[in-house]
Amino acid sequence: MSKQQKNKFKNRAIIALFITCFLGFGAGAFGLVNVGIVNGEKYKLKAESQQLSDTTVSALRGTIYDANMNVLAQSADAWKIWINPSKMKDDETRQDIATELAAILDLDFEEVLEKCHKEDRAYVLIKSQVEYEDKEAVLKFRSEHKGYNQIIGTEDDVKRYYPFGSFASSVLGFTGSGDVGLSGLEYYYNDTLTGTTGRIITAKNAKQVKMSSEYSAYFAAKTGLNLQLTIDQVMQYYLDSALQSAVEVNDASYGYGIIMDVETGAILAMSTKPDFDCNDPYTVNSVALTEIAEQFTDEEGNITDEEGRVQAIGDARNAQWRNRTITDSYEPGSVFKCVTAAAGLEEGVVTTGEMFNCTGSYEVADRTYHCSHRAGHGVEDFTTAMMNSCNPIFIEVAQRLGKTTFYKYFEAFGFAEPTGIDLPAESKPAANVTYHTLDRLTSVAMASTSFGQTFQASPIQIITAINAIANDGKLMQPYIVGAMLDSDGNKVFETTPTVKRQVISKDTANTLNIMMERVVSGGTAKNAYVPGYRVAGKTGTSQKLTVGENIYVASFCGFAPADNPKISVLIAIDEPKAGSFTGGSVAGPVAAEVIENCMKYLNVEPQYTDDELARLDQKVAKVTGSTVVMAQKELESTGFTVKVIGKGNEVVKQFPQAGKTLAKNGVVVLYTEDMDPTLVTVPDLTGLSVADANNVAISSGLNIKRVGYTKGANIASYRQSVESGTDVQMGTVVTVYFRTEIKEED
Amino acid sequence: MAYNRTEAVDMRRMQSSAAPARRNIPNTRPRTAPKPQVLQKTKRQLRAEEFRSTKKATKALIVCSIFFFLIALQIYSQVQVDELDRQLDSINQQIEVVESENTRLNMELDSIISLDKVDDYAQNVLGMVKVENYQVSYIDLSGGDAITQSGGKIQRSLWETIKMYF
Repeated sequence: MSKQQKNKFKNRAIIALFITCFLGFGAGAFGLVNVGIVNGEKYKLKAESQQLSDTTVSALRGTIYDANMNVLAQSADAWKIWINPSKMKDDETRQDIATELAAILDLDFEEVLEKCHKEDRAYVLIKSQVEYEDKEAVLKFRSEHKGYNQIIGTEDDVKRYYPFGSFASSVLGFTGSGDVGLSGLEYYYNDTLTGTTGRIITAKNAKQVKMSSEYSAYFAAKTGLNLQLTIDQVMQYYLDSALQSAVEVNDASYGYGIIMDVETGAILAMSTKPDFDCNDPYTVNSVALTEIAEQFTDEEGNITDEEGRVQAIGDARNAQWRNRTITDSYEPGSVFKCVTAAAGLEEGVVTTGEMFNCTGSYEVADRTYHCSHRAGHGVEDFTTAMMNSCNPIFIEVAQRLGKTTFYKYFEAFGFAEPTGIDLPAESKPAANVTYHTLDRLTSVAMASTSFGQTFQASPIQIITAINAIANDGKLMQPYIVGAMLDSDGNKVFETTPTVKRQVISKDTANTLNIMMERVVSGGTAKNAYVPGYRVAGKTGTSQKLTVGENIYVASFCGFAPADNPKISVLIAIDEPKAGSFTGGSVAGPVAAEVIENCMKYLNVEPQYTDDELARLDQKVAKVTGSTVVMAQKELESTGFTVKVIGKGNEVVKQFPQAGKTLAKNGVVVLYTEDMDPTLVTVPDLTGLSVADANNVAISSGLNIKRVGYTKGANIASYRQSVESGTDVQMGTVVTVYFRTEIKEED
Repeated sequence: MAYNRTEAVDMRRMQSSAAPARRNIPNTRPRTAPKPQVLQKTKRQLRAEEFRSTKKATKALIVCSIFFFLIALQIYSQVQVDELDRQLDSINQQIEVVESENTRLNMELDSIISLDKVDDYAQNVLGMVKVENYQVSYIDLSGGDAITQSGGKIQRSLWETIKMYF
């Protein structure tokens, strides 16, 4: 081989080597660039998913407490049950699974079977928020059948518990899928209650088992903040139960009420009836369902209009979720006279002793306004005008104030702005829609406004305004969340009571306070009278002209004790249809019940007058063991009626037992032999005067406990604690509720 | 077998003790293979050698055993860690379930003893009545606590004592 050939060969070898190296390393480099840069993210994710376990740690939603740290809403882990219909091979499997799941999860079999027939789907949710026991039953069923592992599955979920069901439901609201607040406080404070989701990133071994903690990173979930409400469970219960009874007795569409702390503006109770169960918010309440059934079902029980029925159920569902104390507005009626009076007294255009003459009507421009008492109240002072709820006098006061000054107080008391309470969907006053602005406040409009007509206000606006009178003229910012707490119970935020403004002077507030107390003690709000306590307030009756001719809202707003106000109370009964419709007749007794219970609960000492003391019930003495003659003598000396059962000489048993309280001529049954109690049937005790109800009860061998207004004329019972026709032990005490009929639209 | 024989050959004896001959000096003597000398080792020497080789083998075995033991220990500990991790995971899940159950049962308990149910049971089953206002005695504590001290003997001067008689 020549030298030239050798060089040529050498060069070719070098080129071949270079090409080989270039191709080899080039391919390697290309691969690196491709894996590392071009598709780097993709491979990174693949590697991470293969080697790392990324678990989401869901943060529990914060708990809602009442003012005394009683739990009102709390979340806990739950599960979703799902099926994979595409893996179900035959109808037998579908039948088996549908039967068992429907039985375990308390579902409709047909609905579950229908889901099982969705063969084209790989995931169909059967039920969410399933509790542990049911989930375990489903897993047990799954494990007992070969192949069901791929058909039935579970997923983590969260369930929100409301231990008291419908308790303050319109305030608390409810949560939906994923524990997200959809209504009420749950919605308004959703961001606060919702925590921050945590993560655990752990390396996995070849068997996909998580490796030890040294290969993991933990980002703790942050539990949402807890809310401590200003709502007091006990006062809420008093308000709820009183409103529920009022709605039933008066056959009303709705009843709503608020109790407010006078000094701070904190909401102690807030209720709308009928309401819903927070644990089951989509189920329409029975009252609405009955109405819908009547409306859309013929005599044979067939549905006449299915579409209309479904629409009505949807509307009823939305209606029951509404917190009407803040979302609805109505004409406040005569309750607003307190504001007109406050403006008049503060501006000095009227005094409490000033005499007026009510002729029954008052002319403003071309309009004639009538007093609720058409014949007129005659000569009366301003306080009496307030007690009589005399429209012409308040029109006169408004005319004296003039538009500008009148509107200044209208605005100052908060009727032209929302209160700003921390609840969703508060109704906003719409200028010249729900109220007259100053530039459009004609003399006629002002005259109507002066006694609470031609404008609308929400219950929360009204109670906030009346509360200012109780609170020495200071208008407070209402609020319902008192504090926010972290998971360790530390307060991270506390609401400070806020005085919005001083709307009237302390002196004017005190003067008005006395006037309002007179309204309760002898005016249209007599039914709100509570023996032993000084209650101040004003009733209102307003017509819902947009709904119908004789449709009313009966209301009462006041506070107690008048000499040192602790709580303000608003009661509104919407569309009462049982006969009475005035605020004094319908809302007054409810207010009395609520105020009496709250005063006892707040340990406010009653101060009885001599008259009240004379009417108090008496304690039954212990007479068992005495001779019949001695027992009779002792009991009759204290005013009780005695009935002896048996032929023995010695009392072996007495009913009511010693220590119980009875009206002065109440019945005490003495048994002289050991025998079964004698039963009597409870008569109908409604629609009777106090004396008549007592006589009927005694003649039946029963006792009555009188509740409500029992002084003066036109008193009649309207409710009894034990239904007529019920068999009870002779001597049983039946609570009978009395009220006086206030026929004038107050 | 030849391997089992005890004769030994001393190879040194096969080598010439004289200095190696220079290459340019031809070796005229015919090559004859020297006769190997067989050395007989004592039993003691053989035992010592056997002991040494056994010792070496034992050492190697021990080192290997330790090595394999450590590897096995490492594997075992890893298995244990994995098992404990699995148990920990399982226990954590159980704790979550138990906490949820605790919440659920508390909620159920609260619902059973709600105010309306207690009220209903007390009045309609137990026949209890609500307390009347006049059955409650109110004590005014607004004045705060008061302490009454017994007075000691008053020391009076002679003049004060005389004044007291007038």
